[in-house]
Formats: sequence, C-alpha cells, structure tokens
Amino acid sequence: MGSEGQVAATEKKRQRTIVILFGLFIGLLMFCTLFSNTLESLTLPKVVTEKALLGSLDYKLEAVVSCGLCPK
Amino acid sequence: MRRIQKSVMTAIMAVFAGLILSPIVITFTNSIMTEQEIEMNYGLIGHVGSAVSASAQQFVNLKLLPDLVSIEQYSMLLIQNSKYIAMFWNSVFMVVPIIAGQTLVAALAAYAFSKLRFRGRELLFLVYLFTMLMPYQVTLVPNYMMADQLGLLNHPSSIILPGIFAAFGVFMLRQFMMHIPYDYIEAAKIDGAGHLRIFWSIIAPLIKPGIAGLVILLFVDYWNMVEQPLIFLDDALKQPLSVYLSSINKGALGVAFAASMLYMAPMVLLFLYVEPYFIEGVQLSGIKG
Repeated sequence: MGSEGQVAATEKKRQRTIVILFGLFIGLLMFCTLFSNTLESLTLPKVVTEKALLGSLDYKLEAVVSCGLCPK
Repeated sequence: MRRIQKSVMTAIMAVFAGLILSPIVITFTNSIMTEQEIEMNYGLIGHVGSAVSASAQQFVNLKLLPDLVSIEQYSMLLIQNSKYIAMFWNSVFMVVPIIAGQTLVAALAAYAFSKLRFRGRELLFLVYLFTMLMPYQVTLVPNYMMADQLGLLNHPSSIILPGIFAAFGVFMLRQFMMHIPYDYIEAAKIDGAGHLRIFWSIIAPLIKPGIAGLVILLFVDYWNMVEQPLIFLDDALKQPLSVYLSSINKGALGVAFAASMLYMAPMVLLFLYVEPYFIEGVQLSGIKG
C-alpha cells in the first residue's frame, strides 16, 4: 500500500512538472505572439533623416603599409 | 545466464530505441543550426521539383551536430516572422474545439449505444461504423458540397464541425462502456438518478482512461491533418502549421527544423501527461493506436 502511494505521488509530481512545462511553452508562444513585432523593431537599425547640404567631398586618403619580411 | 540474456535484450532494445529516437534527435540538433548550414546540407531538397534527374544521383548531407550552435531558426520562427506563430495558433484553435466537442458528443452517444435499450440501436451503430470505415477521400466531395451550402468554406468551422461529429470517438468509447456492468446503472436508477446524473457520476469517472486514450488519438489525428485544410481553407493565413510542414520542400528550409520542434512539443507533452491513462485505455478498449 505504501509503495502504491509512493508511485501515485511520483506520478502526480511528474504530471505537475509536465503541466508547468506546458504552461511555460504556451506562455512563451503567447508572449511571442503579442510582442514579436516590438522585439523585432528593437533589433532594427535606427535611421534618421537630415537635410541636404551644399559642400564638397573630402578626398583625403590614408594608408598604412606593412611588410612582413622587413627587419624590425 | 539470465543476466546475460537480460543484458543482450537491453542492448537490442537500446539499438531499436536509438533508431526510433534518431529522427527526433536529428530534428533537435538541426534546429540549432544556422540557415546557411541548413542550406548547405539540405539545399538539394528545395530544388527537387526543378531538377529531379540531377537530384536522383545525389544525396543530402545528413548532419547530426551543427558546426555553429545558433538560435537563428527559433528567432526567425518566434520573432521575425509572425506567420509561423499564427499558423501554430490556427492549429490550436482547430484542434482544441474538435477534441472537446468530439469527446463530449462521443461520450454521450456511446452511453446511448451501450447502455440505453431502444429499437434499431444496433442498426444505427452499424451506420455509424460505416461512416468510420469510409476513407476520408470518399466523403470529401459530399463534405465539401455541404460546407459550401452552409457557407462554411474558407472558415475553420468547415473542419471543426465534421471533426466534432466524427464516429471514431463513439466507437471507441462504446467499446469501453460495454465493460461497465449494467448493475451500476440499475442501482443508480433505483436510487432515483436520471440519465445525466448516471452519466456524470458513474460512467464518466469509470471511462477516464478511455477518454484519455481518445484525446491523444484525436490530437495526433487532427494535429497532423493536411487534406482538410488544403481543401476547405483557401486563405493561406487560416491554414494550420501541418500544411506548412507538409510543403517544407518548397523553400523556407531555414526554419524547417525549429518549426518541427515547435510543432512536436504540444503532442509530446500531452502524451507524457496522459500516458498512464492512455495505455490503460487502449488496453481496455482493445483498439490499437
């Protein structure tokens, strides 16, 4: 009788774990359903617009030359 | 000697269990791959239609472990593209009413077929059985015409209503109720109980394992349906996830495995939950799943 009660208790515990897991799964999906657009918009790069200005382009070029074989 | 025999049996069982579990393991490990890796390994599947002769000579590269672990697929599925979640909810909103409705209707009908004595009972049950034995394709055209007449086409109720009144549940629960002695009902009648009271207080607690078995079988059946939604629902946004998964070779390989995991999760959890009742229920009703 004692072992039977133990089995029933283990079974109950297992079922409770499954219910919690199921709740978490459905909760995650509901959260994603409601907030996926918000989360998505947070990851998008932000862009700002500016008025066009008159001016010239800066043509200054810089370079670093390295030589692996040259003695230091 | 006995120990060796047991070890050998365990080893053989382990091999079979491994073989049976391998698709699930592969699906899981592949669901944490990047999209590029999936395309690289299984890209061929996406082009089957266009190059049958070429692909017949080639094989996909089935990979167990990902080179780079990533949750890209899950992010795509759950956050970036809401189509998949919508499809998941479509599946849920079709399957839950079907299971709830069919269990209720079937339990009451099974009670009538097994415990009430009325004229033509056996004949009526035979008619029920006939509708169950007919392949789905046979009843498809009449079903479609009826849904059209009722204005239900392109609406989930065109799938839910035939699902609720399907005969399988009646058959299964009737078999189950046949094992309950009629004496219980007579005793309850003497005490002044009506049919609803008898059903609710005596029959329902006794057929719990049968109901658990029915729920899991119905869930598997309707969670995996493809033909019904394809025919009754024109709007792609109303279709369940099973339709998407059945056409996975037509592009969108990137989220295929994650979608499969998402699709599998409720079924596995439900099975684990009702497993003890389910096995008992199937054994008692004598029906194989």
